[in-house]
This record gives sequence, structure tokens and C-alpha cells, in this order.
Amino acid sequence: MNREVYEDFTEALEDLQANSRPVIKTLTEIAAENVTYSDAVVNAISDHIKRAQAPQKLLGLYLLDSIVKNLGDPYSHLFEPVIVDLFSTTFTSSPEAVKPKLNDLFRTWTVPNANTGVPVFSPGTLKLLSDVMSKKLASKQHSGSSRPRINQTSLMVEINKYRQVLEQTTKDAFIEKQLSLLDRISVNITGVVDPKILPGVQEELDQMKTQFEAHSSKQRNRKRKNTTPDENIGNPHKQFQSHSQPLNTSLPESTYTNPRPNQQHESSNNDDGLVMYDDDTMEDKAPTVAPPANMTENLTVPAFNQYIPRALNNTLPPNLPAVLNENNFQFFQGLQPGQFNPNALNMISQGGATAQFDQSMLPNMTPMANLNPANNTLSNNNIGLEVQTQTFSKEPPQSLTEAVSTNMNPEFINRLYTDLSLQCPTCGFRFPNTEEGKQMEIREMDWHFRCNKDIRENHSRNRLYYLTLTQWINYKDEDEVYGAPESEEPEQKNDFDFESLKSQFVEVTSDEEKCEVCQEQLTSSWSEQAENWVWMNCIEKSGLFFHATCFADPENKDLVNSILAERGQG
Amino acid sequence: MSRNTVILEPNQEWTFEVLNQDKLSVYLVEGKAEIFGTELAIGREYEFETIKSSVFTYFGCKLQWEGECVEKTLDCPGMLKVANIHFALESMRKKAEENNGNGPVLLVLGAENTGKTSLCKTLVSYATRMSRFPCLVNLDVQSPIYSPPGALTATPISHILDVEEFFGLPPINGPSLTRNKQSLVYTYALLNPNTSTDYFQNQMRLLAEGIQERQNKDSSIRTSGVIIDAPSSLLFSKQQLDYVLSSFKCTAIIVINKNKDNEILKTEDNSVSGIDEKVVISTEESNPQSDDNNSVKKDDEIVNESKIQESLDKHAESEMISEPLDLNFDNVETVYIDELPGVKRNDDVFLRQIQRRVIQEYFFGSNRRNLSPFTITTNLSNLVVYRPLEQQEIAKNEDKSILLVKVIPSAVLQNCLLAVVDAEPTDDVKKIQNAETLGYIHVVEANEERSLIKILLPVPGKLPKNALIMGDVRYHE
Repeated sequence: MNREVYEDFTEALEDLQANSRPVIKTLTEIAAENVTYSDAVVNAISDHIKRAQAPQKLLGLYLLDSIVKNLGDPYSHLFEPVIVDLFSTTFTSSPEAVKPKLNDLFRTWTVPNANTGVPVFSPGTLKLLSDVMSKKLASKQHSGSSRPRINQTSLMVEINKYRQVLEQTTKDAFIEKQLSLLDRISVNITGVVDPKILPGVQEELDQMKTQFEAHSSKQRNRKRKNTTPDENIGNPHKQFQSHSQPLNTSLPESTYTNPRPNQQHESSNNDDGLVMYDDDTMEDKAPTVAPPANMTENLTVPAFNQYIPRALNNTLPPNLPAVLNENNFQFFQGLQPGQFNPNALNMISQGGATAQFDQSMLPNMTPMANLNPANNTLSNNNIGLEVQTQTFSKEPPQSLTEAVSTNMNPEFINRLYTDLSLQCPTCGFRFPNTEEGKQMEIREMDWHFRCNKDIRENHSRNRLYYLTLTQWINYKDEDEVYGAPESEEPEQKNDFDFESLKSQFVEVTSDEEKCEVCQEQLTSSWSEQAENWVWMNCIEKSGLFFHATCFADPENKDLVNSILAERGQG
Repeated sequence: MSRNTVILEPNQEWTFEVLNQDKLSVYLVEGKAEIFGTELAIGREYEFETIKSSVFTYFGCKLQWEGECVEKTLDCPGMLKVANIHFALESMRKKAEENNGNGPVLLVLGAENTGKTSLCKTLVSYATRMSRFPCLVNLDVQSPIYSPPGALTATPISHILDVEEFFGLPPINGPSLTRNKQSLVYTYALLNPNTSTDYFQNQMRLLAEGIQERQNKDSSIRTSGVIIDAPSSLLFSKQQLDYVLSSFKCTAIIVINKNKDNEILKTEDNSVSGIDEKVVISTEESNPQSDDNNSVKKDDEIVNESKIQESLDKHAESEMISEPLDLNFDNVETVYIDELPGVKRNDDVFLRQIQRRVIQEYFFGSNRRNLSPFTITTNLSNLVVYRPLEQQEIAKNEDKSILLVKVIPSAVLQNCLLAVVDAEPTDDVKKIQNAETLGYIHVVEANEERSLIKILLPVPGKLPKNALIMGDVRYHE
């Protein structure tokens, strides 16, 4: 029976030719059904990954990822012994452009799984995996010579060198983002830091460099392409055909490296443990329909006209483009001001790989569309595209009465969305693309970084009291949003020496004691030094126990004093 | 484990209700979408529990979800009107900025369940995208906004809202998932604004004065204006409505019309809401109590219930007589909009679930962010507790400006949520009734025989040496 499952599953794996969520989902479901024969499934997948060509290897890992994340045990246990091998084989044989994807995948394993609350693999395995990657990345960058041991200074030097490289490059949205990421990284390793975070920072830096290389090679390609713009943007039809093709090595490399232009730099912030499997229908949207920011600026309305008739697969009469002007094609207008939104075409092409346009979608898609029905074959479905030459006010309403009695100019919606073109990948908050907006975005990412770090470190936290009336009246929300001048948390923490505090201990005196400050149970461990069971990171004061770190934290000073004072009284 | 896909076309919304212990995860796969004005990030997992909410898109989007929920896709072109209202408010804010004047003060009115809170949420969210800091005021004590139920709050919204929460809660002592919002809070402690009209108005006045002082010092708060979420009862009480308009210096009113189909149900709705409050109290009072309960407690319970019944009757009566008010006021622009199709009908059971969830999160945090509250046991006599006087009681008093009365701490405190106000226990009652609220403590157990009381504090440390206010809000773990 094991054999049978192995063979069946191996056969099913043949379907895994493209990065397709449904296929991965189905295979995951099959794995779930065959949980009794899980070792056969694991063997089938392992062998598949070892045998397959590079692109399929990655897909195999995606499947593995889906299985361990969704099904957990016994699969995560069974994959644990082989994962390092599989991962390293895939890593070695993959083209450079795919490596960041593997890196991203690895990162999702390092954070707690949403279902179980713990990472899918053990810390030991993750360490090995991270070693594999840093070694591979290192050997790549230093052409074979092994990287010297990472230390803070060398890392700072490397960051500064990279910053110079970036600063000498022509500025665009990508470079700006890299620079802001770099700022964040350097903040993190300034001052006294835990040396354990350094490899992570190094890895992040390496990844940025890889992205930078991919970006600059794309820039070069684009320059070439820009000399023949017709080929590039003028022929969407050609691009649509590729929808039906499975992912293979002959696709341009940007298919792999840049599936989500808005998201490619966020991997360090994406702590949700998500890997985005692309759907068949959108697998190749990135290189064609969603060019990076600096390029979309060229894609203004006239370019739509070239897109639309073909996108609609000739259901519109040839004279339609003439009526598609700035004021009356509201659907596309609403989508983007002078920019083309990849989702629009995806919406349209949703129906199938050949971009068949589903006419029934149109009335809703064009809520305020003023397509001229006189020469419009779409109206034969009686779908109510009204004849209107409605004009919208160029000015926003000045009063509520005006607001409720007029129809809004759909262009205004962009003021809430695309006019604010910087977006925090973690929470979705938008910022204007100005110097100030960029600063805000950097602070925003830094904020999420600190918050996630705090959650991971599992500090005990509690609700605060509200401000008093006087405090509230004098409170400035600007300090919260724009950042108060220099009062970052890490600097406070540096006032005392964490490591030496953590090594303090008290011999265990009872079964259960908790830290008076954070209310957490003290955990006992065996100490060779004391030849007894001890609570590490613990001190005792007046018969009460505290975590040494909680006790020493200046933030807790008042609390500790009040607890001890109460003890004194009672 | 299987994920469902929803494709929304422009101006459609996907509404979902997650009830009981169910959990729902939603992902925005592509496109742009928002939950009550707050944009979603692509690829992030949004987790929901005990919530009725909806994802709306101006652009079209693709969502995936997994978990348990009741869901539906609706056309919602009315959102364009909401956006247009936002742009009108924004024009007013610009004018305020130019003239160094005050931004718009908008009062949102409507019958129960017409989407007042959702509208307010959307409007403040849009304003934050324009780097405004609109001050959100909640006058609906049933609705727990930046506080457990029973409180009036004013909160400048300077950054993104947490869409997974019903609204949000006060800050914690460390980095939180969304930027902190600092509220000014005055407790009313009761759940029906008509039980103690004078106390309710007193608290509204204090809140309005606080906001005006803040506005005098803070130009970004002043020009961003105020958005007021009001209880439906305001539609029926001319005196209270006048009070709100004058104390908050409202410049505009939006009235949400109930859908024609629902119009007939109006009176029924009111009576239903009356029963609501009775349910909230009676079930919570009749929760299984420990054996320590004595007869005093039971008497008290009966007294309480009959009082409540009395006040409810009065409330229902007054509402039945009154017609919806004429809303034409000088210097106040009044407009009417229709309720949006996806409006959530919050029945009493659901409302109680929400209230419960918010109280729990106040102390214990959410799934994403656990908190460690602090339990202490102390002598009953260490507590100084007041309760609001009911309207008839105030009328009987010689000094009608006294709004609170001292309660002897006893088993009656068990399960109560007590508001900690910024006043010493020894202060004069008039100072206590005018003091802002600093937080809440929860009485886990009150043992009269041993004269001990077990209390859950949000902040570690001693029992705060402040006066406490008890009211209708109960909670048990």
C-alpha cells in the first residue's frame, strides 16, 4: 500500500508544472487524505524535488511548505530530517534570480506558524538552513572565498559601502526604498546589539544586494526595450498568450524575481508566515502588466486605448477607441490616474487564460461608465450602459448638501489611494510620495519591525491607564505619528547589561513562583554551577521573586518600589 | 483548511459575520480594498472573531477567506456618497486651516442599526489618509469605542485603525500593532442614557469642554474637526439633542434614513432595544454566584430589577410618544442619506458578545497581543465606590447638582466593572462626579463573610487610591 501511495503521489506530482495555487492546494489535500501513509508521501515529494529541474524543485518546496504549514505533524516531523538536504539542492541548482524566493520561503519558516504558534521546523534545523543560505550567498558574493566571521563593525562597513553604491545610482522608487531599508538596518545594529541578530542582518543585506542586481539588470533591459516601445507596451495581445503557458525556464527572469512590485522589499516585515503562491491566471502579470513605478508614468491614457480593444478580445467595434477618452471611460479612470492598474486586466482576464471578456461583469465594473451605446455592441445584452454625457465637477464639494446632492467625480477616489503612492506593506497605510512621506514610511516600517520583535521576544505587557485631562489636553498626536525627538526604546535598554542580569539565579525553593512584575511563572533549570535546580534570570527581594531583568528595567522602577513598599507594610 | 475565493467588482462589498467562538481569516490577494475606510494590505492575514464587518472596494479586488462565517456579496454604490461627504468635510478642513478657524463638527444621527458607527469609522479613516487628526467622539454608551461599554470618549485618530478590532482600546506599555490613540474618557457607568439624564449630560459637557481646551492648544486637532457617533435615543429627545448641539458646537448633522422596508419596524425596534437592556442586566445578575451570596444580595437584585423595569417602561413610553424631531437648526447644516445595504443588524445577543469581547481584551489583550493583567486581594473596606443617582433620585434630593451616591462595598460588587476616576476617595462628591476616567478594574470575587475582595487590575501594582464608580456593566470570566 505504501508503494501504491508513493507511485500515485509521484504521478500526481507531474501536475506541478507551474506555480499554481489550485494544484498545490489539491496536492496538499491529497497529502491530508493519505496521512496514514505520510512517509510514502514524504518520500515521493523528496524524490521529486531531487529529480526535478530547477523550476520544479522550487515548486516542490512550495508544496512542501504548504503541507507542513497547513497539515503540520506528522509531515513536519518527517520532512525535518530531509529538509536541509532538499533546500540546499534546490538552492544550489536555482538561477540567481530565484534565490531571493527561496530566501523568502525560508523566512516564513522562521516565524511562528499561525496554526500552531511555533515555527514549522525546529530551531536546530532552521539554523542549518540559515547556514546553508548564508554560506551559499557568501560564496556567491565573494566568488568562492569564504566570508570572514560577521561582526558589527564589518557589517557597518559593508552597509556603508552599499549605501555609497546606491547613492551613486540613478534614483528611482526602488533605490529610495533600498536606501530606507538600509537606514533601518543600520539603526538596528547601532549601539550595543545582541550578536545573534547579526547573521540575520547580514542575510537581509545580502538579499537586498541580490534584488539590487536583479533590478539593475532589469533597468538595462528596459533601456534597450524603451527604444522599441511598441513591442513593450503596444502589444498586450502577445502578452496575454503567455497566460496559458506553464512557468518554465524560458520565461524572462523578472517573472521569478518580481511577482509583486509593491511587496518585494517587505520580506523582513512579513511575519505572517505567508508564501504567496501565484494563481495560474496571474502568474505572469509582473513583467508585462505591472511595470515598476518609474515606468508606469509613461503608460498614460493613450496607452489604454491600445490595451482595451484587445483585452476585450474584439467584442468591441473597432471605432470604440475613439470614444475612450479621459472623461468617459470611468472604469479605467477610476482605477488609476495616468497609471495602469494590473488588477484591471486581471479582472478582465479572470475568466480564462485567453482573456475572454465576460460581458455580464461590465455593468458593475463600469458603475459610471459612459460608453457611447450608439455604436456599442455591448448593449445587445441589454446591460444598461446609459447614454450620459455627465460631467463631474473638477472641484470637491464645499458643503455636505452639495456632497449628497451631486455625484462624485470618480477621479477623487484616487486622492485616497493612488495619489498616495507609498504604501506600508505590513498594514496598508499610505503616504504621499514626498520627502516627508518617505520619512514617514521609513518610520512606519521601523515601527512594525520593533513591534514584531517585541511580540517575538514575548515581553509581558499590560494595558495602561488613560491620560488625565491635563495630560490629554497637552498630548500631541504628532509625537506618536511623526515620532518624538530621540526617545527610542533600545537606547533605554542599553542602560543596563542584559546578559549579566540573565545569568543571575536563585535556587528553587518551591514548586511555583512567579515574577512579581510580569506575573510570569518562573521556569526552573538545572545549574551545574550551583549543583541544584535554579531559576535563571531571577532575584529575590523580601521574600518576593522577580526576573532580574524585570527588576532592573528602569521602566518598572515605580512598580517595583510600590510592590516592595506594600510588602513592607503588610 | 480550504480557502474560498471572492471576487469583488468595483463598488461591491463583501459582508461577513463571525459569531460565537468562530474564527475567520481574510486575505486580500490583489486589487485594493478597505474595511470601513481602512485599506487592507495585500497578502496579510486578517483574523476576525465576534464581529460583523465588510470589505468594500472602489476598484475591484480578489479576496480569500477561510474559517467560519456568514457572508454575502452586495452592490454598494452608496459608498461613493460617503466618499463625497468626506471630500466636503475635507474642503471645510482646508478652509479652517486657511482662516485659522475650527474644522467641521459633524453629528451622525440615525435609528438603531443604521450604520452610524460604520459611517463615523469610514469618515475618520479617510481623514487620516489626508494627514488629519479628526477627533472621534462616542456618545453611545452601549458601543465600546476605545473603552469598555458605559463610557463617553473623545479620541483623536491620527493613524490607521485596527480593522480586526471592534474599534480599539487604550495603549499598552510597549510597541503595539497600531499606533496609539489617546482618549479622553468620562464614565457614565449605566447603559441607558435616560436612566440618569443629568449625569449623562454632565459627562457630555465635561467631554466637550475637554475637547475645546485641546483644540485651543492644538491646531491640527482644531482644524481636523470632530465626528460624533450618537446613540439612536438622541433622535427622540429634543432636550438632549439641543444639549449635544450646543455643548459640542456642532456645525453639521448627517441623518441616516432607515431603509423604507424597515420603516414599519421602527416602534418594534425600540421596544426590542428596551428588552435588550433588561437582558443585559438580568442575565448577568443571575449568573451563577458563589455560595457566599447572602440574602442582602438577593434583595438588592430584586430592587435593582424592579427599578430597571420601571426606568425601561418610562423609556419605552417616552419614545412611543415622541415623534422623530425636526432637525432644522440655525447655523447647522443638516443632510439625509440612506443607509448602506450591508448595514449590520446588531441584535442584543451580538451586542453583548461584542461588549464582552472588548472587556476581555481590555484586560487580557487579543490573540495577536496577549496582556498580563494583575490580580490582587484586598479588604472590602479599602474600596470607595460610588454609583450614579437615577433621575428620580436626583429630583428627590435637596441639592440637585449631586449626581453620585456612595455604595457600601459588599457582595453586590461581584463581577462589576468599576471605573477608576481621577479623584481621591476623600474628595467631595462633586469633584468625583466631574473627574475623568483613568481606567477600569474588575471585581472577580467579593466575599462579604471574610470581607475580602479579589480584583483584576489592568496595570500591575497596588489598588489605585482613587474613587471608583460602579454601574450596569458586569463581566465574568
